[in-house]
Amino acid sequence: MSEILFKNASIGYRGVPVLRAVSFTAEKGGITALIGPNGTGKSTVLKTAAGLLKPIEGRVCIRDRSIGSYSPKELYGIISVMMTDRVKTKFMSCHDVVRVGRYRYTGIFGTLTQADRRVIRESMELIGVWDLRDRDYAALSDGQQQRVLLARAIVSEPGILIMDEPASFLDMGRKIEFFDALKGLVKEKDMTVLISMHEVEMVKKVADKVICISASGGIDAKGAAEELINPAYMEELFGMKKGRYEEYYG
Amino acid sequence: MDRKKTHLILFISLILAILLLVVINILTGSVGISVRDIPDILLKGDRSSAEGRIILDIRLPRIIEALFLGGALALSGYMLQTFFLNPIAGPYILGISSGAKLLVAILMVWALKAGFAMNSLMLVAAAFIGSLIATGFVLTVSLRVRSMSILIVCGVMVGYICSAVTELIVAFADDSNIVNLHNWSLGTFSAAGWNEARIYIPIVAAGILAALFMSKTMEAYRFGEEYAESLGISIYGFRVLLIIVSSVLSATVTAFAGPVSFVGIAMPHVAGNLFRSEKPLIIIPASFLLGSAFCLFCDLLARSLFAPSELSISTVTAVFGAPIVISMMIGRRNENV
Repeated sequence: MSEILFKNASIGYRGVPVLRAVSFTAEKGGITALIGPNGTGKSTVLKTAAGLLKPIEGRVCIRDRSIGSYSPKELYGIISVMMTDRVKTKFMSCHDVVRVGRYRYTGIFGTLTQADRRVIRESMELIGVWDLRDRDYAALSDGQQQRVLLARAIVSEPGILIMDEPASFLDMGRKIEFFDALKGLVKEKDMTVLISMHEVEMVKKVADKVICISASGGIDAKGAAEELINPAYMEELFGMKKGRYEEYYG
Repeated sequence: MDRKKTHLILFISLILAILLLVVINILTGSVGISVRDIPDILLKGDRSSAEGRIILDIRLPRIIEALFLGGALALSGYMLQTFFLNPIAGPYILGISSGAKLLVAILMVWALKAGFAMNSLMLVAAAFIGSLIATGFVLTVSLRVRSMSILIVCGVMVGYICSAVTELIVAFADDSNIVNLHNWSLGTFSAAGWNEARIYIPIVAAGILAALFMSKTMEAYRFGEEYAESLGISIYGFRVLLIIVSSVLSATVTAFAGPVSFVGIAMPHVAGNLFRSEKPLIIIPASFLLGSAFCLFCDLLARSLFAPSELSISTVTAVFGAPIVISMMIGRRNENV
């Protein structure tokens, strides 16, 4: 059983495909990473997997059931997303931001139960942002904000987490902390993660499985990170001259 | 200090301020009334004296109107701001109040000519249809332009067109009742009595309740459409509901008090800054109370500043409201307004 399955899917916006013949699976308890040049449709894959875009053709299944057959309530009881859109707040503490992630559990006026408070605290501690709980969200650095948004994404206790470049604003040290937290999360909660990332050099350590999307449109390769992340292939995928990968990342 | 405590103190202060404004409003006017007579008149509903009739039939209905309709306007503005995810929005500035005004004026003049008696519910219905037409126009424009400032300019233009047509209609409708119509079309809290209050109080109360029940979703929606959708919220249904509740509230205000400027746009902003919160469950009642207090205060000035002649309410609300809106825009100069 796969948690996420794309089978020969055409995906895109308003009936115009961005990618065709997309097929891959993401398994339970693992991190599946999408990599590839800018503008190849990684976000489109993520949005379709999250049910925010309807597939134009082909099959997209969540837990072996067609994604279209889920009610929003059912679907987002399983899936939690962390997309790239920035959140503009004025008077919100980090706790306020994370609290909104408990949406489907809270009562009609959004009041928190003891259980809600406990999960919020646990999630924030797991990501290491509990100390920031009373701080003004808008005044945080981009990196801190991204970690708070990760806490918000896991506070709904999802089975599947879909993330679009979640670590892009973090510095080197914070990136490592972030991916450590993510790996810990997957292990502890047996979660499935579908993530797009630009940190190609870190993919080997983070992801169990890699899906490469090339500029020519479509999935170029998929498989274990150890096999795919090698200089020659990266140079080809990202359209670099021979030797450039080693020169900068080696 | 604890946020909850601060909020409680602020709510209590706001209610006390409103009570104080109510008392001052009762006492102010061309006929002086002694404070001592007031409890008797209010508690016993004593209409036997001239003072009793002035308080119970003139001043009190006017106070109730400013209280409920002022609050309704602020709430309507807050819901529009939530809809557009932008604090620079309100029923007056987007031309929605003027659309309502135009349709009400057409209906009134037609009813006068046909010798037909209008009732309050028909006025509200006409105003509601008028605001929906204006809102429809604003939404159509908003699909084409991404910039809120262009949208607002369009709204102001729609407002001018509707006001010009309203004036034309009022000018050509030759009737003695036109004096009333003219006052109403400029905005005033003097036009409605107790019979009207029986209509607008339940509508406004229903609007507050609806807003409170939507507050949880409003908060999630503030984080963007896509995120709200990923929480399982039906975006389309929610947006339709927001527009309908907001339009019912501003249409009710326009039907009874005419167009009142700047309350809807400025008061939610003041509420946010005063309570230092973005939580709709706090801002909904806070905006409402601030709208009430603001309209009571402005109405007091409107009728007492140059007594016995009266200013239109929008003249006064603009004097205080416009600077607040300008300061908001300056505060957001680095962002895409």
